[in-house]
Amino acid sequence: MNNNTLEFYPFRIFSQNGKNYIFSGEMSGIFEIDKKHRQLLHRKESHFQKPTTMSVN
Amino acid sequence: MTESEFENLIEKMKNFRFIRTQETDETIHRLRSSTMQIGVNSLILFVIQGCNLRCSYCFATDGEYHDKGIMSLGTAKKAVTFLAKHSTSDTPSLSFFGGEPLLNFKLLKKLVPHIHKVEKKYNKQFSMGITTNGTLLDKEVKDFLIQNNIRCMISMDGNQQTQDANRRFANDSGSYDLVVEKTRDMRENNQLSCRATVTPISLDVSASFEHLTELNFTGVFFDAAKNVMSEKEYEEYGRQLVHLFEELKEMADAGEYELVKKSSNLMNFLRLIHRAGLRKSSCGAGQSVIAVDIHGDIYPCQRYVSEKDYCIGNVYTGWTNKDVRNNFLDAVNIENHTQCSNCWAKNLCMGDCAYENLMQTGSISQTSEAICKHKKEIFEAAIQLYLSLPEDFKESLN
Ligand code: SF4
Repeated sequence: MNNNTLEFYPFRIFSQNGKNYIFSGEMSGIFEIDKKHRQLLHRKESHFQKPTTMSVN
Repeated sequence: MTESEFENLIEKMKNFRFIRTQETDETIHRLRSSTMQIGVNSLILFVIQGCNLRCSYCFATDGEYHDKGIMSLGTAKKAVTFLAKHSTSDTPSLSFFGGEPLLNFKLLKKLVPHIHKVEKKYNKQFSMGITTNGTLLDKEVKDFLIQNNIRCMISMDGNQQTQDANRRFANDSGSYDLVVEKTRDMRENNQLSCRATVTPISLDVSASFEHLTELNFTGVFFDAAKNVMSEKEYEEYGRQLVHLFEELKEMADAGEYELVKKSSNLMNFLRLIHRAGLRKSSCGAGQSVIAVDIHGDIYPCQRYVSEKDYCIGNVYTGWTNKDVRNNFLDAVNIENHTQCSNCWAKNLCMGDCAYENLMQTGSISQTSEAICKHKKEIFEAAIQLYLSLPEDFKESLN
């Protein structure tokens, strides 16, 4: 695993009544997310089938 | 976003296992591989392998599982002791199953008083249940079930047309009228739930749900008879179940929670979603759940009975086939399902039913494309519904 890379477990973003939620595939936890989270997780597609990686430096 | 905000966010996401680290990977792997420590907390007891109905989809060849016969009282007692000794729960579950278990009511009448003695000896309280076609429910049987607190689930597929086409007697007559008559008082008293098998003639599960809830079953669980469905029909079943969930969401939005609660499929999913946490296996087959056939042979669940290659022991001799059990548990372990490793629904689906996988793809660890697609769609619908529920309803799912 590369230290310079953030790797996410598979997740799915849901929208309900104007709010956004993230569902984590490994734990089944659901959490409301705000703009900042969306910034971090930003993807056009809300459906992630592969681990998503992003560079942090 | 400031640097500290960003770091906080990352920390939170690590705690909730959104972010993959070597440490969390190892923890998850270790937890999911330590399933052998779980006790046997649910036993499905085949008190008979034989039935008085000839259902069109029966995978067990008229309830006989290629091995017709009845269980002896001695074997049944051994199985009860096996459960008492191997369970880690104070309330292990014992389900009387068949074939049609009430064809061996004689055994149940002798076995249940014995169970009460075993409960005292091992300081446990068995949670007993029976799955029956309902055709043999007379006053004596009903009084017995109620007095002994035995939960009763009726196999009934839907309206008269569906039931009579699917669930027929050996003389080819339908069973709808008889089952409705025999179950009337218990249904009226909220004492019966229902399990409906979906076939190509009953894909409209919303219509069946409406009919069965009108009959006042406390819960309705649908399962598809995949062995008699084409891929297209199965896809249609998936769409219809999602449609039912969407209708239930409308009911929930309108505050009609009593009907929502009657969908056992939905309630099972909602509980999974609400309780969250890392799951180790889908249904516990072979670990916390076992089935015992008329000879006392132990199988991972009721679907495997008579599949000798999957016999994992015997209630007289114990876990005699440890390798078979270990191999089975390895195969069901979601960590070994390569197709599921990157799936967002993994912790809910857990790679689906091991037996269905075996039937559809030839491998316990491989789910068919059709089932996999259906599972994702149905979990998505359930999560959408969950998010719209008021907090007190969610709390009741604990
Ligand atoms: S939905 Fe498909 S990929 Fe996901 S866990 Fe289930 S079977 Fe595996």
